[in-house]
Order: sequence, then structure tokens, then C-alpha cells
Amino acid sequence: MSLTKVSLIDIVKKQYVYKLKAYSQVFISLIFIQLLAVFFSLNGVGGGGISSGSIQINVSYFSADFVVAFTMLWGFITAIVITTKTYRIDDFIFVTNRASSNLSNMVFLLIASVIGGITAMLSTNLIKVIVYYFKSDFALKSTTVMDMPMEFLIGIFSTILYVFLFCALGYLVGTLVQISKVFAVLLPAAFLGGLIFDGLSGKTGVIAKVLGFYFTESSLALFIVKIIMTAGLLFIGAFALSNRREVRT
Amino acid sequence: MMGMIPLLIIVIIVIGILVFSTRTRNKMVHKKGKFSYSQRVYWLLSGYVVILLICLILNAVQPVKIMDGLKKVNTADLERESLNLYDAAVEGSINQEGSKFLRKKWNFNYQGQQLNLAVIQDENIDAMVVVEKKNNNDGKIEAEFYQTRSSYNGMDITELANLPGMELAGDQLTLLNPKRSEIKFSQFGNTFNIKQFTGEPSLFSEHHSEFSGGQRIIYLRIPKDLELNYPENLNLQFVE
Repeated sequence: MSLTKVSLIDIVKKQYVYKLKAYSQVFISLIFIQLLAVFFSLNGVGGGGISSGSIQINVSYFSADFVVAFTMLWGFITAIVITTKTYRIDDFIFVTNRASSNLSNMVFLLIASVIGGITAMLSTNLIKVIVYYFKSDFALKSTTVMDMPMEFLIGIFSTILYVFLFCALGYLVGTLVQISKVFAVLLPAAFLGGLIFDGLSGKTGVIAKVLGFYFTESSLALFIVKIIMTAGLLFIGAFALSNRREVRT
Repeated sequence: MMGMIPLLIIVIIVIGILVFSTRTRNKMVHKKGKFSYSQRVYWLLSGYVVILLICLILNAVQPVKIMDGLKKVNTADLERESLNLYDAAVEGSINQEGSKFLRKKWNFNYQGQQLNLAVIQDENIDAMVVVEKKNNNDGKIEAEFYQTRSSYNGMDITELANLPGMELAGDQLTLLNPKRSEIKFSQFGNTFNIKQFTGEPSLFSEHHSEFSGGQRIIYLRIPKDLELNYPENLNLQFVE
């Protein structure tokens, strides 16, 4: 029995600070993934050309879509990785229980999403600089942060939310896999199977509808509510499931 | 479905990299140097953010040069210009009305009775040829090239087009197409998660572009009695 009482918040705070250090290598993969996405983006996401007489005009379209998508994927995988055993055992360095361990993971994922979201949006500028200076003769219709500060902020904010949503999903998936390795096969199979089934049937299937629920939401307020509710539910699911695990497995 | 395959490959590569980079963690984390591993990671991350911020500033300051490089034009004006120049050419008043569209001039001394107008085999001349017979026989052929402004998406690209050439050899005057000029434009769009809220159409569906080629006229003034032979496929007209 111990005489000192520690509050949950104190432990979470300590574990979180520790995790920022111990899990820091996820940011190396973030930089790497984003640079890879920037590289893919340099080909342009589309293009067209007009030729008349002796003039040939080529237009290439660019955007940072790849970077945002890759960052979401990064969030998903990072969340899975931190539920694995090697990472989970780290928590036993401190006085811990499932709640503090899960909460500090969630806070860590939130911070990681913020860093991922900001760098993903900023990477548009890296693509622009490379294209302007090395690839094209003229640039068409382009806005800078100065022209459209609101759009830039919406971009950062929505990217953070998307990455966080995928972190939450990854965390639940990771927790399920820790409970039973069967899920490591079952979940990807269900997802791919769903995609193929949707593709074959030619109708908008469940996966397309679920994605559409977030990706076609045009009201920012509703979008925020949807993401926070979903991420919240996913985390609660993961917390509940992890409580069913044996002590220190 | 087939279009998904390259995407899937990319995703698999990305996942591979992520998993691999986290596997190396345990080896790296205990390395001791002047800075701990995590400190070095945050230095690297800060460096990355600084580079991105520099790019942001470069974009905010620099693209003015790139975007204002081309003048804006009104397409309706261009249409009018183009028609007016055509009318002026066939009426023989191009040297007064079209003077501002004159791009190039040639002068040849020619004493022969016949002139063969030729183009390089299998080529179409990307201009209309208008011939005016002079009132006298001064032994001179004057050639002029006129071009009204051309635009792409409301931008003046006239200056970017190369000019045609002309060569006189013996009794043959050869018209040469200009060297092909290629112009590369780049267009940036917002990412999908911004468009979602601003209601912009997706880059994939939005390929609205507008091109106006401008009127190109090669105007020849030849001596009164010179007989002119030219290939049938040449778009040639005499001044009325």
C-alpha cells in the first residue's frame, strides 16, 4: 500500500510526456511519407493540352491531395503501431492502469494529428515552389495564404480532424488485433472484400456510403460534430475492449 | 477497378515503410550521443517545418512575377480584332488598319516573270495568305506577317508564339511554318478537404479552358505583271 495518492490526470500527463519522447520516431516516418507524397504530387493530379497551329499548350493540375491522404494513412498506422506489445509495455514504467494508458495514447495521437495536419497543409507550398521554379513556364490561378487565410485555416483544421479520425480507427483496429490475431486477417479481408463487392455490383456500397458520410459533408460545423462523435465512439470502443484484456499480457 | 492497382501498390509501399521504420525503433532509441534520439527527431521535425515555412514565404512573395507575367485580355476584343484584320486584308487596307499587328517584314528583289509559291512538303501553312498586285512593276516583292493577339484562359500569349519564315530561292518563294512553341502552365487547386467546404468543383472534373488563336495573315505585295503559281491546298486570296 502506498501513502502517496496520485491523480489520474497526473499519470496521464507523465505518460504522455514520456510517449512524446519514446514514440518520437513516428515523426520521422511522417516526414518521410509526406516527402514521398510531395514527390508523387509533382507529376500533377491531372492535365490537359491544346494545340493550335504552331502553339502547343500543356496544362498540369497540382494539389496536395496525396499528402493529405498519405498523412491520414500515417495516422492510421501510427495508431495501430502504438497498440502493439512493445509499446504497451512501456507504460508499466509508470504507475499505470488501462485508463491512463489509453488516455495518454489518445492525447499523443491528438498531438500527432495536429503536427501531421499542419505539415500536410504546409507541404502545398513545397510543391508550389518546386513546380514554379523548376517545372512550369507560367502558373494559373493560384492563391497564397495571404489571399485566402480562411481556406488555409479550414484546410489545417479539417486535415487534423481527418488524421485524428483515422488515428481513432487505427487505435480500435490495433486493440482488436491485440485481443485476437484473427482480426489481423479478418479486418483487411472484410475491407477489401467490401471494396471488391461494391466494385462488382456497381452500386454505391456500404464503404462508399461510410466514406461519403464524412468526405462529402459540406458544412464545417456538422463535419466537426461527425468526426468528434465518431472518433469518440471509436476510442470508447477501444477503451472498453482493452479493459477485457488480461493483466499485463 | 484496374485504375486502383497503382494506387494499391503505392499504399502497400507506404505501409511497408511505416512498419519498417517503427521496427527499427528499439535499436535506435537507446543510442546515446550528444543529443538523445528523441531530441534529434524533434530537431529534424523542426527543420522540416522551417523548410515548409520558408516555402510558404517564398510563395507569398515571389509568384507575383509568375502570375503577372502574362497580360489579361478580353476574348470578345480578340474576336473583333481578328475579324477586322481579315476584312482589312481582303480590302487591301491592311497597312493602315492593321499596322499594330505587323510582326515581321521581308523584302525581296525579284525580276522574273513567274513566281512559285511553295510550302514544305506535307505541311499546311498555319496562316492565311493574301496577295495584292501593285499598280506598277518595280521588281520588288514585299511580304508582311500580321497576327492579332491570341489568348489562353484570358491571358495574352501572343508573344510566346514563334514567327513564320520565308525563303526566296530561284523562282520559288517558300513559306516556312514557325517553330513550334510549347508553353507549360501549371494550375494549383485546393486539397479535397478544403473543396469539400468551399464547394469548388474537383480538379478532375474541372477542365474548363478557352483558347483563342488569333488571326494570322501573310500579306504579299507583288509587281503588277508577275504570274503567281501556288499549291491548291494553300489558303490564298487576292485583294479584291
